[in-house]
Amino acid sequence: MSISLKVRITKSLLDSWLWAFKRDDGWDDFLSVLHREKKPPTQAMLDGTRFENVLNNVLNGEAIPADHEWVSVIAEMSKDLYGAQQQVTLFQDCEVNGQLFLLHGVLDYLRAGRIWDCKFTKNYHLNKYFWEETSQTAMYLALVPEARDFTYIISDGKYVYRERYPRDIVPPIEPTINNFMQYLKKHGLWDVYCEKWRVNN
Amino acid sequence: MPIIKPENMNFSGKNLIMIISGLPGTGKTTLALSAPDVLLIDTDKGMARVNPAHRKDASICATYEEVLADLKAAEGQYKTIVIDTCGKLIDYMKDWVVRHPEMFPKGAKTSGGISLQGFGFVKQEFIRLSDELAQKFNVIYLFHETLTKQDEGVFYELLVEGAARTVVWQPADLGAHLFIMNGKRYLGFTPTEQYTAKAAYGIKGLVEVPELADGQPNDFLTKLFSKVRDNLSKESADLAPQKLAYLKAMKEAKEICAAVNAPEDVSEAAKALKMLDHALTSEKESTALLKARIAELNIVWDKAAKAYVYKS
Repeated sequence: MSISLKVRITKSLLDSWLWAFKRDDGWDDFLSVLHREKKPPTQAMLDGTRFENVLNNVLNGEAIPADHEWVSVIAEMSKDLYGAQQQVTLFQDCEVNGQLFLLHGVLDYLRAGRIWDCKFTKNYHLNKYFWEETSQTAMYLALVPEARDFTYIISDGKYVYRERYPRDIVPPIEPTINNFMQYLKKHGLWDVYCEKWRVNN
Repeated sequence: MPIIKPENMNFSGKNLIMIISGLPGTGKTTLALSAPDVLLIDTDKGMARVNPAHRKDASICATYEEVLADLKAAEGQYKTIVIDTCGKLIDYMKDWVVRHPEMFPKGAKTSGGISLQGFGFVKQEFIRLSDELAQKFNVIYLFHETLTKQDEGVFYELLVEGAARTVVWQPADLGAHLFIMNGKRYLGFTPTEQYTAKAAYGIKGLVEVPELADGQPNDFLTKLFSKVRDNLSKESADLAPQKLAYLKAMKEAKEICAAVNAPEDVSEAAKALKMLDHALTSEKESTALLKARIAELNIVWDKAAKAYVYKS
């Protein structure tokens, strides 16, 4: 193990591993992400991107037609997000159990010590994005050590939901990364990971 | 409207909306009655199970119209409204929507019962009612829970029609799962894989609810609400100087970025941004601002030349 080897880690990679045994196609999906294979976006991803584009256009000063299908939810969300920096790309070094990782993430919105992430989903329920589906909360709070909280701002197209997680209730990301690293080593996937995700200075 | 500085903000009068959920017999109603000056909207006959020493005023309602009338009458007389249970309140709202087609067209299915559109009206009404109540009272929504099996354990779900399960959390400031463990009662404010919850204002994790001894005042939530307001005031006071410094740094950062008009301006601007007195997330935000400005001007970093250049 060498501290000089730095490997990149993202919430997408961690999430694909967390879901590897929970979904029918989870393992294949994890291997695909681990090998950094390009995959076409799913319909859910495309819908999410379209929604976020409309929201960002409004935040950037464009008008939204009064008869737009999302007019009311976009208006409500833009009140919360007005003035925030959009698509903030961040990197942060993080040493876990003697291994150096480079955390990498793109924040949807950042303003005044608060991180916001926009989600568009047809099947929302409370805490969906906290325990069940993602390492994002912990990962992004690690990327912005000065942030006070992380808020998911979610819409199903009809309603706006908010889940705010103060920093002090979110477990740190390091144990998850450590479990991930140990798993890869135990199952002979560490070398693949280092090869595909190595950070070249 | 007068503008109030953060250091002058006063949260002593802030009303709170809280959800308390738990299995039958955990003592939800008695706990809710420990809030300040309570009126219980009793749709569940919960008061009958409360120790007489801890009973408070109650309104027994059979329809949503009766609930609204009693809430109106309670204005100025009570500080806290307890809805026991919120699942039943949603049932009342559904019945109300179905009975009033003149107000809620297509709210009922032709075969009877509430329609999808009708449920939309119920959701809107729940949010409207919560907003209105929160302007005048603290509000405590009580929910029974059911146990559902999940992969390797169980999950405690609010006992309310599925479509309402999400919307009821939206107006809540705090939400906790009430449960008994090793003979002691706890409120769980931090969500876990077993239950949903909402932590805020420094109230988090497990908070023990002490057993009430004879003659002891039932004031647990009165004290908790007071602590929330103290925490809010303290947080606001602590943040005030940081917010002022943040606003100043962001104002200067915007001016610096706006002055970038050519590749040769970028390095100086980056240096100037670093020199600002940053607060909160102003450093990362100002870097993002500069990146956006560079992209707008079609400027890129040329690795070979080690300089910013126009993108060819």
